[in-house]
Amino acid sequence: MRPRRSSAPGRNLPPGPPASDMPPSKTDDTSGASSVTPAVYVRVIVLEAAIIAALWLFGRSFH
Amino acid sequence: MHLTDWLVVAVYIVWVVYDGLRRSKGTDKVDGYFLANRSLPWWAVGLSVIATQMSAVTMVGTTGQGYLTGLRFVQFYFGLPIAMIMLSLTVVPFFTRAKVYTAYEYLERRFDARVRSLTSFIFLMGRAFSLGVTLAAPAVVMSAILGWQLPVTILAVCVPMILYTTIGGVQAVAWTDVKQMFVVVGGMSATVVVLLYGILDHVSFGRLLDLAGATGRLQAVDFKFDPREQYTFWSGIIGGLFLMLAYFGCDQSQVQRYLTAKSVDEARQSLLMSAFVKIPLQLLILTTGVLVFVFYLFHTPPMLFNRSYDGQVAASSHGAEYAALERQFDAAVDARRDAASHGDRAAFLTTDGAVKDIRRRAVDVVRATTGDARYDDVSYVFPTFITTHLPIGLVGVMIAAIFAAAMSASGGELNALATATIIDFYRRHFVKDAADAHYLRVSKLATIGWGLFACVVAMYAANEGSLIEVVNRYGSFFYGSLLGVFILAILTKRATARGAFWGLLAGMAVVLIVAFTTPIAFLWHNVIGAAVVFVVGMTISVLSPDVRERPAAP
Repeated sequence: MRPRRSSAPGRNLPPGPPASDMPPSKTDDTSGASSVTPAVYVRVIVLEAAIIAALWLFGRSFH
Repeated sequence: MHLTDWLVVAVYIVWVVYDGLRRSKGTDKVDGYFLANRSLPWWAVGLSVIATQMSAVTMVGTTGQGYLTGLRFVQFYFGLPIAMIMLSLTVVPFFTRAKVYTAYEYLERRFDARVRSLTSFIFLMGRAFSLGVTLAAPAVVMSAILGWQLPVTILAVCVPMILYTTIGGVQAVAWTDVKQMFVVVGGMSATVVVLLYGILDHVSFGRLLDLAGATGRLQAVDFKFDPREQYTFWSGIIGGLFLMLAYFGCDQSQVQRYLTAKSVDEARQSLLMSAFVKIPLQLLILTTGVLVFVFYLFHTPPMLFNRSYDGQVAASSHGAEYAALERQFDAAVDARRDAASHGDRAAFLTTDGAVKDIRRRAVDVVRATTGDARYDDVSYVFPTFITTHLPIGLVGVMIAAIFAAAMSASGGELNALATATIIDFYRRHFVKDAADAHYLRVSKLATIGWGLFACVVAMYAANEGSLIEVVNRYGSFFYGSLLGVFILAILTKRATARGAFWGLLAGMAVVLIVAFTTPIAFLWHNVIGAAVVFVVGMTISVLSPDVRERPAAP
């Protein structure tokens, strides 16, 4: 099927690929060792859970 | 204010402008002006991200919230760390690989120019007006506290901010943000020390906690599930998650911050810095408000912190009634101080209730006299404390910190407005193939133009309380829906441009209806908006698939 055309600005451009299909850029330094490891994400979650638990206990202690 | 304090404020503002201009090296091309040549280290980007969202409204309003209701507002941020992780894994690498200047530029590559233009236009409208409010809200308070004319206060923030943002671009904004974060955090920490010193003169630290806890101000977490309640654990962790995903993933004023990072990894680290720091920082600000409350248990506060109508009320037929309330207030404060000093919990709660009741009646008198139905004094609590109880020098630092917060939040927004205007509209639709110098010149003009527009909105909004409310609510009308479009773009391959376009309009329409016809708290609007856009967008995409073909892979 032929592509449909439109006179609206930009509508006759071909659609691009989803970002996941894009090639890595120069700034995408995934080739080297990343300092943002899954352990960092786990630490964020653990810290948040600890803060919420501490705040909850703190509020209960002084009510 | 003492001359020394004025000097501190003046020196700070001059230093901010000077250093901002000094940082303008390497901004002679569009890439440098808008993205700092993607050269900033993660910690500078991270501090800039935090500074951009910590406006002067946060400093005066959040401390006021802490004073009145305690720590519970911190729940608003519970979704933030999770949002930062999700964004680090999804949009950060997507935007960086796409090598875009704006988040909306990516939507044209994924969908079409119509979706890009609509989302960018929604951002421009919302952000331009909210920039005016960002400037107006603290300016109203600071004018009343400092005794300045409102236009003078607005110009004191706007002129330096427009100057360094226009000349230095994003680089100047980011490095100024870094300095301002140190001033804000340092000033708040010093204030906490002064507050503790003033309180511990009267009671022990344990009694301090008992007093704050007895009034419920230390109850930060509320697990009750009630969609009508603004701040609960659930609204924060679910509604807040969607809001933060939208704010940090779809709002150019935030996206542009991490696009300046050296690499994907550094961009991720900058967001994770917010994940680690934001909740403790908000706790510091709210705790300051709680400490101000305890401080005023032992130092007589004004009956109302917003004194702008004092003369009008005194001269009105309600003058005698207001004066009688002031006498009752002083007596009730004395009784509360005695109860607090002796650790008599029941008497303390009774007298605190009496103080609150008198304040409520005083607010009613002011409203009845002036006809200002929105009168309140939440945002005046902290500035009043600063100017009446902090030592000379620190007053200047804190006033400078409030100006710093106003400038750092506004500079980032102003730079983002110029970027979206030039990249998404001017270069995309009007002048497509000009020299880089031309785009740089019009970018600076756009920065000045939006800066002046924000000043005018600020002057107008300051006198129109209703406008501030409308603009504040506007954000929740579109944030969730914008997020829905990005979810369609990034997480699905079947979504089409038509589905995204109409899904976005449907999402905003539904949120508008929900906001005006139901009591559902605003944090949930973000969830509703994103869900409607996704469902409507996918339905249209499936029923009416895009007939255009993708170009063959090379």
